[in-house]
Amino acid sequence: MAQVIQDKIIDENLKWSQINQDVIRSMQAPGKAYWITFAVCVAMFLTAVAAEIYQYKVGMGAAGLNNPHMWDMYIATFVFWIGMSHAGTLLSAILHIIHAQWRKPIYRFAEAMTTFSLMTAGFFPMIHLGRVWNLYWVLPYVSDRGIWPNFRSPLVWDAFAISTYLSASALFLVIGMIPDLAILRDHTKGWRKKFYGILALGWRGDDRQWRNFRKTYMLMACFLIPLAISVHSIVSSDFAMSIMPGWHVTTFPPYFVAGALYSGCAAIMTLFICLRYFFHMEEYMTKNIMEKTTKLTFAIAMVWTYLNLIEFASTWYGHNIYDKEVLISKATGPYAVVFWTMIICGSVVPFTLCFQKLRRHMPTMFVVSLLLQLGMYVERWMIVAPTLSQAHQPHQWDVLWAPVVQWAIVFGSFGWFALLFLVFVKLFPSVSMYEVKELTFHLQHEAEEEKWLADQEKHATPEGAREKPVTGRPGLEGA
Amino acid sequence: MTQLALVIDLNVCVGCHACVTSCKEWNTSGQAGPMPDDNPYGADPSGVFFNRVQTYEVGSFPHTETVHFPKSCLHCEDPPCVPVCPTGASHKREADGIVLVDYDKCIGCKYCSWACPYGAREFDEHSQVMKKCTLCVDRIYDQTLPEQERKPACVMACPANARIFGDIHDPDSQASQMIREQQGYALMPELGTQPANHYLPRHIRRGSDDSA
Repeated sequence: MAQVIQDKIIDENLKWSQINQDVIRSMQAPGKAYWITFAVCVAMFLTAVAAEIYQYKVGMGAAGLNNPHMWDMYIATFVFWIGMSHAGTLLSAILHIIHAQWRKPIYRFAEAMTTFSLMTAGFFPMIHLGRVWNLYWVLPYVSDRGIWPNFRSPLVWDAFAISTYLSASALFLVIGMIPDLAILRDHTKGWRKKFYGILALGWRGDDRQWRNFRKTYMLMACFLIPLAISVHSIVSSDFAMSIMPGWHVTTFPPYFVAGALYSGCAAIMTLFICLRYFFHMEEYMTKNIMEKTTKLTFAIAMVWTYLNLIEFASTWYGHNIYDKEVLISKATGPYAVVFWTMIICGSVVPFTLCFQKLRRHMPTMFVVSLLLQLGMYVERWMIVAPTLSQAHQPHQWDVLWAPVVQWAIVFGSFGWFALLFLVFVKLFPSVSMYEVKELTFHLQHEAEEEKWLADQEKHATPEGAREKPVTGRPGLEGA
Repeated sequence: MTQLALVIDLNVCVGCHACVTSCKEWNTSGQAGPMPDDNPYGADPSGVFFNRVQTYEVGSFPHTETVHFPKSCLHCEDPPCVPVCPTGASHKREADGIVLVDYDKCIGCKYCSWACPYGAREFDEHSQVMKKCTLCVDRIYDQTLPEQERKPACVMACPANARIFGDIHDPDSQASQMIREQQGYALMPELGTQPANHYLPRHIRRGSDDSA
């Protein structure tokens, strides 16, 4: 039975007090580099605000949005951010229910990424509205003006899907943090103690609380998985429900979900490396965990590539002349550079993840993760722009390269996301302390068991071999 | 059910744009107005026109011909722009089959123009709402006008009588008769939108295999 000892996910001899100290250290006293990054992010965000004010005053023409280019980069960026949000759910919920231990040190920041990328994505449907002040008309509320949303519209589905997903993922993030917040309450002073005291909701870490906590967490995880899948399917139906060439495709929902998981995993790789270096989390964000994340990313990249090729093939061999023309124009037309960037970054670059040496080389992985994200961003843009540039009617044919206003708003959205993330890492633990403790506890006992079994084999007695050491319950008394 | 529509005879359209200008004149001063007309003589003019004439060169040299193709909203019987509207501003009237936008309800999300495969939707960058051909709904029911003038402005203006207005569900209407007799066709019927506006194909072919 001697199981091959896997490479350790993290060092099992990590002291629990050490874990507390390391995580609390990462949350205190922001340095100069932090404030400079913070200022840059604020500047980026303010650029977007200025661009939005300008667009609001002048009209959508400022962003170049009129027939035939109606949403352009705004919708592409919206899909990108929504996609990003899926990786958090993958790591925290899907890997939770299949008991993948390696997710434990890294799922917290991925979950935060989910919430923040949704908070970023939510802006884009608002920004592209002509009369943004009437935004609330897509919500069903009783009024005497006879305004009631049209529930057949995918935009209304979007509004419901995103608000549900945002509230559910934020709740999941907060619930999962409760034991950690209690640790912070017990280890901090001043306003932080009060702040974490309120958020910890009177957590004492007794059996009943743990039991309820585990049930709630599992329930939320089970709720979140179908929700995440449905959200991106709904986003894909924004496109698939229209009869435009290149969009009216039945494979769009799975294609979008695969793309979402893909770009999300790439984003996790980027943030993983950032946290590892800037917050000195080498002991938690280990190279072994990075390897597992990259393998997962590679698998998803291949699924995405497959779905992409299938879409091309069904268009190529299909009889729809409009679809085929759009496909040809993607590969050879004015957007060909972008198309081939997508193919190279999305389907070729992931093959670097096949090599163990590269997988364990963090600077390479950082560059690769950024390339993958670039590939996935332009993929979204390639869905939007070529179809609008070459719709059914020749009079609609037009090529648009986004004007400055669009770029500024898209650029600012990255600033806004980074800003939220920077605030998060200083206010909340970006590594789950109690789950890392559980992990070390499990690993210790696994090691003990291995040792015991090895001893038994040495001086084997038939009766003794059947007994196993009591492994005990996982470390519940972390808080 | 009544389905009002335009029947456009491509044999006689000379591409004079009288329908375009009269449409703009009527609608810019009506309920849909004002309709912007930015930078009209510049390099990159933009503006709202409910009716546009597209001119195509068809065939290959020397057997070519010029086809003028007037196009406005086709008032589809199954319009793809209606179900996608989040606020219900885009709607199809049951009484006469006209597809309209309620400008008060429109939030300018432009989703309908995504959904329309004919590119018939026109976004007004000044009032930030979507607009489109109304089939001159504020004219065809106007009791103060003499009965023979209760037609869309484009129909009234056409010097060649290329535009016929009527109910295509009424087999006795002039519009239905012309569709029947001259093999009138709908634009891109394969999309299943069932456009109400019809085109009468060119019959005179000057040695070319291609025709509009």
